[in-house]
Amino acid sequence: MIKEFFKDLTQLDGVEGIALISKDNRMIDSWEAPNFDSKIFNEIGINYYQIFGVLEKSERDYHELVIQHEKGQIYTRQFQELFLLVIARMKVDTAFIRLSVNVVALDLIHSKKLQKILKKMPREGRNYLTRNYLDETEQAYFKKIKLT
Amino acid sequence: MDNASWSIHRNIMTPVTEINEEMVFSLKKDRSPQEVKLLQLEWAVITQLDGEKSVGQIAENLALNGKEIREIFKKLNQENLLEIVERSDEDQTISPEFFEKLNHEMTYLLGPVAGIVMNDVLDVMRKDKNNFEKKYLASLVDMLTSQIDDPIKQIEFQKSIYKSVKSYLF
Repeated sequence: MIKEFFKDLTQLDGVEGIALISKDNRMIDSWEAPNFDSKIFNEIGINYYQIFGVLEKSERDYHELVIQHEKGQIYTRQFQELFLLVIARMKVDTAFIRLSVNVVALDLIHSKKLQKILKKMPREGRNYLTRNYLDETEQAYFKKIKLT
Repeated sequence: MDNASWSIHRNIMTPVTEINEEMVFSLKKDRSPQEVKLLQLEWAVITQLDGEKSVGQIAENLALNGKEIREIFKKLNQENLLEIVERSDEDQTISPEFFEKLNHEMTYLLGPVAGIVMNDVLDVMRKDKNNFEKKYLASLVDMLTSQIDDPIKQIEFQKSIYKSVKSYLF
């Protein structure tokens, strides 16, 4: 699916990995450059669920997050039932990643192939924090948290 | 001239006959180093390849001398793992035809104010359309898109010019 919809990004110098991850952190599809370790996708995925979960709790509708680090950037785009991760070097223009995603996003979301995959997945709430990985103390902490 | 203003593009067709320390390489995307039997130092060089560091910089990072690093790059090149990244400071600007196309698409969506909107955005970016560098192209599209209120029209606009944008960036 990634090669079909994000072919341009896979051919762009500096893009190292792309993944489509479902709301329960299941890998839908991924692509990575030859020297890239794909195991990192799920680890990053968990972190983004936490970030999006906290933002959702504070009623902030962020559909896109870009985190830059010393070696590159992680671009994340949230859709209703999944999110897209693009891991790229700093030299890749974030605006071009956004543009490449924008022009195919609707076609991807409405594609029969994706819909078929999503139908088989759990239809629980999007907020990952309320369901997984958090004990009662942590859940209580997040209930109280206030972002400014 | 600073490095950031250099344009970088691939020249896959150029055969590399001799390695020098100023050259910059990246890994070929269609071939994995795992397909080749490599020594530990050769792997170390592979991990340094990012399309930005020169052969000399990689040698310095790995504490290798000129002869050693050239030998390693020669082998990696013979194994068809490398692509040369050419840096050029020649003019990398957007053609007037592209701006005409942009203006046409914006006018279709926004009407006669499109030209004013375009000039406003260029002013904000402190850029001139007669000397607009390719590296800012996607940002320009991003900012122009934000001037369109209707989300459906935003995508329509981006789709209409995406192919042209891509032709400049690939």
